[in-house]
Amino acid sequence: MGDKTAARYAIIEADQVMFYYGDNIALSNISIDITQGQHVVILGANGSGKSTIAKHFNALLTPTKGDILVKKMNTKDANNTWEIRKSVGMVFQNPENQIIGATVEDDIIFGMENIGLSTEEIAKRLEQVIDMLQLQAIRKKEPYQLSGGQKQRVAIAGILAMEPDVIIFDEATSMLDPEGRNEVLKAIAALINEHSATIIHITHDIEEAIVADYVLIMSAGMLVTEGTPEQIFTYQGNLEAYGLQLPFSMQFYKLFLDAKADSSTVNYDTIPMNIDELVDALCKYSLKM
Amino acid sequence: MLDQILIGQYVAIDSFLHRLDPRTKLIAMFLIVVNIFIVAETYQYLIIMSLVVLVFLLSKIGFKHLYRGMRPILWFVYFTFFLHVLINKDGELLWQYGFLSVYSEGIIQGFIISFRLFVLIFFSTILTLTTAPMTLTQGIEELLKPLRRLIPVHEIALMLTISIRFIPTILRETDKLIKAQTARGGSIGQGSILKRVKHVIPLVVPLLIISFKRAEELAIAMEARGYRGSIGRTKYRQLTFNAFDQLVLLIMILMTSLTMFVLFS
Amino acid sequence: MQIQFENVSYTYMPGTPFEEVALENVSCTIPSGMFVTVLGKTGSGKTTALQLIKGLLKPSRGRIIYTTSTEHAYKCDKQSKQEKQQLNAIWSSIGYLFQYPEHQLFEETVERDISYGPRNLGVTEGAIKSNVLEAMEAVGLSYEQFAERSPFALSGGQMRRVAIAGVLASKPQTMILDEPMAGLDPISKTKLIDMLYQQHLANNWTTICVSHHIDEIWQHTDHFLIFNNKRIEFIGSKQQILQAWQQRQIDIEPPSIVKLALLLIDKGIIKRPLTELSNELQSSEAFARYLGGV
Repeated sequence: MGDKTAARYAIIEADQVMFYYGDNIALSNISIDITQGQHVVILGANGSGKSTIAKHFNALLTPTKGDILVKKMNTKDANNTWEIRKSVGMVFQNPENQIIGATVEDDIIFGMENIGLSTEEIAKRLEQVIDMLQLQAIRKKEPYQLSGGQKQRVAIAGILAMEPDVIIFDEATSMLDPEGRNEVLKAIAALINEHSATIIHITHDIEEAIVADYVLIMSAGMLVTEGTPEQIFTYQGNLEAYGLQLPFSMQFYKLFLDAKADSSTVNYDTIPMNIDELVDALCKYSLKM
Repeated sequence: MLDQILIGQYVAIDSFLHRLDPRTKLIAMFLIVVNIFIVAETYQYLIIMSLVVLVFLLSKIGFKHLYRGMRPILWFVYFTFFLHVLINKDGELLWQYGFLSVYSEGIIQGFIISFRLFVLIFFSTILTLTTAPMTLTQGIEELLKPLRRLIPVHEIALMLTISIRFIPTILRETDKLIKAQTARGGSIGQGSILKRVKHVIPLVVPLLIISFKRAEELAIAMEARGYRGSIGRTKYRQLTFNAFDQLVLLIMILMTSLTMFVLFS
Repeated sequence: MQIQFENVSYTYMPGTPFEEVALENVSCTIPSGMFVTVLGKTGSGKTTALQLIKGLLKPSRGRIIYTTSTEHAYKCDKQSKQEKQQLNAIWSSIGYLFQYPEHQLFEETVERDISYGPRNLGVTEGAIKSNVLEAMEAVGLSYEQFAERSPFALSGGQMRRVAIAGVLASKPQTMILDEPMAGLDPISKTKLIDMLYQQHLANNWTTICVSHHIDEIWQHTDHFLIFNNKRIEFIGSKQQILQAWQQRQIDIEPPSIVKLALLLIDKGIIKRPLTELSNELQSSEAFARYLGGV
């Protein structure tokens, strides 16, 4: 996924951001750097502020105090907004309320028209993104004929066609059924693996954070902890206080270790990140079942 | 259930009319309306009638679709006819029963006026049957473009487009809401007028709230995709006039000129 | 109440260009008093089945038989006034929680919205008040704090609880839940389904719950019903569905502990078949204790 040793620059920089919503302190002292090529997940329960900070990254909101820089442009300067919005694309939670176009094609075209691309360029990119997201079969369909997962893929296509530097997924899987969720997660994985995209993924689902490069956990408007998935998911620390749960494999392993009759052989250093690693970890114990 | 209702009445087939530019059809429609209300001579009515038949054939729309499209408004034609028949007291008396009397002028005038209405309804129905809603909106936008310093043409067209796009969604939500409130014992659409009005609130309030939320989320999504009105905006889908469009427009202009000529001579 | 589908079919908009078959010749018996989880992809017919049970749709073919102390049939053809009255009484005893129920709220205060159901049923004022109190308590909303507030001033999670209280307030004997946990974060999901299960036990409901959150709902389910492509693919107990998973007979993804058990069985770590483990697979704790050698 790109050359990790090459010098990476920060595309988005948040510096001690505070955001007041009326009297409510929605964001408190948030400092984050997102570098090119990163897959960052911002985890948090509902109301933690994760969507609020996400909306700062494309100047939909501006900080009450502190600064947000997108490619060194300050979001508070309205002259920058146009460029910022071209650089930072966003896929929203509600699949229905972000499709403008009368057909799939029309919706993909909408963003490209907004940034003033020529007819030839629009035609070219339209075919590219339809290919990338496998929308050929539904390209002429109208929104009401699409499933939730399909609508989200159309939204992704529309954003991709604008060739942004960063794509933010703001709880883009929360309202989908399992099939739709898989469609979107597959699309994100393809963007990362095949196109070295920079992705910020906002979610409350811990399983989606396991595959990230870097995880940030938010709670009550504050950034409570950050690190690689390996660093974040330990048996210490209290994710429940933040409205989150450990991934199943870790939860189960912990219960298993607690239940282990012969505690001399327990190994708390192992952190199984998925079910296969869990099985491997369990195999190391001589289970007579 | 409700979400299956066809929006407008567009029938997606291929015909001469379907292939015309929407602007051609809109302009032709306008000119036809001018003609219908100016003509006075019998031969002119016959010309119009032949135009009706010609357009019907060119549209390849079957009687079934045409009737279904016109049916909701046809009652107005009947109503107008009977109104004239009963009220107009000119000409010779043809029939009398009690205080009801029918005069020859009533019949003739009734016929003329309802014929004009019929033709008007026919052409507007054919317009929506042969032109997709979005194409029609685009045609209107293009025709209004010269006025863009006076009225916000682009914004109006976009509002129309978005509204049309959301009709199936709103119908589906309404269906779900009716079911949800019915499931709680709220009887929608039953009982006395007062009862029905009372039971409409559990439907209207949530729909309004959903719509406001939708408008807000859509605006945010549009802004996030670089929307800032028509400044710097390009348009991908272009409308183009071809030879057939020019032909149709020429014929309509000729016909209208002749009608005007007859009128003023 | 036992609910039986007898060769039920349903077609939307029959005789129009939009005709669509949603259910095809479905027959099954939903046992009384159990917590039944309904699974199936979008479009498999499960929502149609739920709406038929509640009388929101009428079968195009076949009939639905409700059995309490007496038997009543909901048929596809015309029914007598008396039959309709009896069916209405049955339907009034069925609570139906729609997906994203917070979208139904419309009243000026929480109390008025919760009492909408009982008021429509003609319950007396005194009984309405006590029903509302009980319902609010059940969902964890304090009457003193919330009764007079506008539902629209509350958080999403609170609004959902108001909507649930609104269904509880009519004191249903059967409950239909359509994706009750949709859109909630992990901790809220577990809290909600645990609360609904407690209500199920306390009120002796027959509960029919559609949910794709199999991990959260596995523990509480007595019986499974799986729809696939407008028909029923599977109906049976936990034991039977474990067998179906072991033999790879159904497409639906099992809960994580079952997936784990299957992997351990494949690797030869567990030497017993899945069907023998239904007790151990009740919950993560139980399975962990089993593996831990307790």
